[in-house]
Amino acid sequence: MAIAQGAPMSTSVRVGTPAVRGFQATLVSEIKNFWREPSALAFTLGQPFLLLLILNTFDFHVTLPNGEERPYLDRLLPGLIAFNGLNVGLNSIAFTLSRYKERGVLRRIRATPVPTYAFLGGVIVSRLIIALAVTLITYLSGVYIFGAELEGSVPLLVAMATLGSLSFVALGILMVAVAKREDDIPPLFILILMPSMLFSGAFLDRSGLPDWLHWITNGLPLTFLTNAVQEIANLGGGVGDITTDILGLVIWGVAATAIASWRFRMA
Amino acid sequence: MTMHAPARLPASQDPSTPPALAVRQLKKTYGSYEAVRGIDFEVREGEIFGLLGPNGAGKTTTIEIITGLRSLTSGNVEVFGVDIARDAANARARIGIQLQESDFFEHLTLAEQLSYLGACYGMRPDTSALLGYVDLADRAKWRLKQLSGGQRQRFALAAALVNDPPLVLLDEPSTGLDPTARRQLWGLIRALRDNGRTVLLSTHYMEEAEVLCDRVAIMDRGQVSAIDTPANLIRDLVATGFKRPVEVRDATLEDVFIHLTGHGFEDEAEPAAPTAGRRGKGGR
Repeated sequence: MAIAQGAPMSTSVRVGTPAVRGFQATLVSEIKNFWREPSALAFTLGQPFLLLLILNTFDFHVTLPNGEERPYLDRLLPGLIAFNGLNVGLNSIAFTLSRYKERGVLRRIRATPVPTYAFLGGVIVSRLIIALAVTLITYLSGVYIFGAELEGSVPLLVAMATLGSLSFVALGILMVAVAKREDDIPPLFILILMPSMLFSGAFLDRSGLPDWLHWITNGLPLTFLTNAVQEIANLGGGVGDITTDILGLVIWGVAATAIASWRFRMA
Repeated sequence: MTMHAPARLPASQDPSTPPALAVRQLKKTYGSYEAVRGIDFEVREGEIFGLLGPNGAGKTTTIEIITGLRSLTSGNVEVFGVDIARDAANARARIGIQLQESDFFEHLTLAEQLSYLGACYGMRPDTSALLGYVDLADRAKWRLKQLSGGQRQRFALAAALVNDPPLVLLDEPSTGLDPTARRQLWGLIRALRDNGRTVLLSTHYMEEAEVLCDRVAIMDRGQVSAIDTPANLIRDLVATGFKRPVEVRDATLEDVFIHLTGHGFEDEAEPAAPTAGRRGKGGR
């Protein structure tokens, strides 16, 4: 549309407050950004499927805490759902936000009237939606393609996975808040990823760990999440059986949020 | 090149209206280093005002304080009478900005970027009008990385208008551009003023300040040493008896360029752009 020079017309119309509109636009843009980033798609959506494919070739049985013998897949699937929470929350938040920070995207947004909480809120909710999608995809492919047999309430399982993702999102923002540069993120990520993968019980049975290591790694956020998800999916547990795990995740989430809101700067 | 800038209502002639921007005794210190040392200037509604100075003069710091990206140490800044320290959101809503060292989302199209930034002001911008103004109407579905340097700077200018601001701040808008692209950008900035907006820009290009700005503040080492129209500043200097050392050369490098290529820098068309509609390749 061509505009006549000197015509008294404006280029924009007011449609809401910066907080509400900024939140909505950030949410939509972040999902678009995620969907259009091939490596993010492969890492978040492709990885769980690939892990199921590979780890399912190990044909052995594990003993559940109630003494029941089950194929490894039945134990792996809830573990993988828990691990997705870490992957989506920590990985995708930390790498994306630190890249935005380093390249000045956050500076540009900071110069608009949109409040930081509205921008971060949009980013966080976008990750929860993605986490929810990944949980459902992992669950459905695990059960219907690979033939895993799970117990318990599916809505509770999904709710727990989402709560877990929220704690990891808080940790991801904390990571960006304490990192000085984009380059600091990979080592910080590995520092959390390695013990989480090895000692949380998501992939390997924790019963073989020495007592001291078992005791220390009891407090890992992924241990809480894995415990909770396995309790629901393998033993048919309800909320009453996982209160400690929920509490653990909430404490991690609240602590990370508190430090992040003190340290996080858009620019 | 389209020169039709999105317009605003004509500036009020009422003398009681506050200036578009008033900067008073503005200071910014980092420890013992004084980046801005108590500067004063006013930008009148409807003018292009230039902050002219070398790198490190404090131009960017001043602009970033006005946009709210940096806090001020002392002094005050008012945007159309609104104190930025008292009512930052209201002040920001009246300012359009183009920053140095800032970027946009890599996977959004140009039109999506403008809509996004508009939403951050609670506004819905007319993206096709904005892109049309900077001559990027046919690039609405492109990604930023597909643009040339000149197109990128023009896009940044369009992005500065998403909130329909009466005051537009441009931090070194033409840095890194070739002469053709720079002149195109000047035309767009003039069109903004001609349609009633006020422009504050920083530059270290003397020619830009002289040709484009209605008034300039000369900044050096955190201080403003003079404010006036370029013509008055030159006249005052000449009045002191100043004479420019005259050097007569038989030819300049520009003459060599024209001799070799058959055309001047200014005549050259923009470099061929990539095919429209090509989708950007994924990042990381």
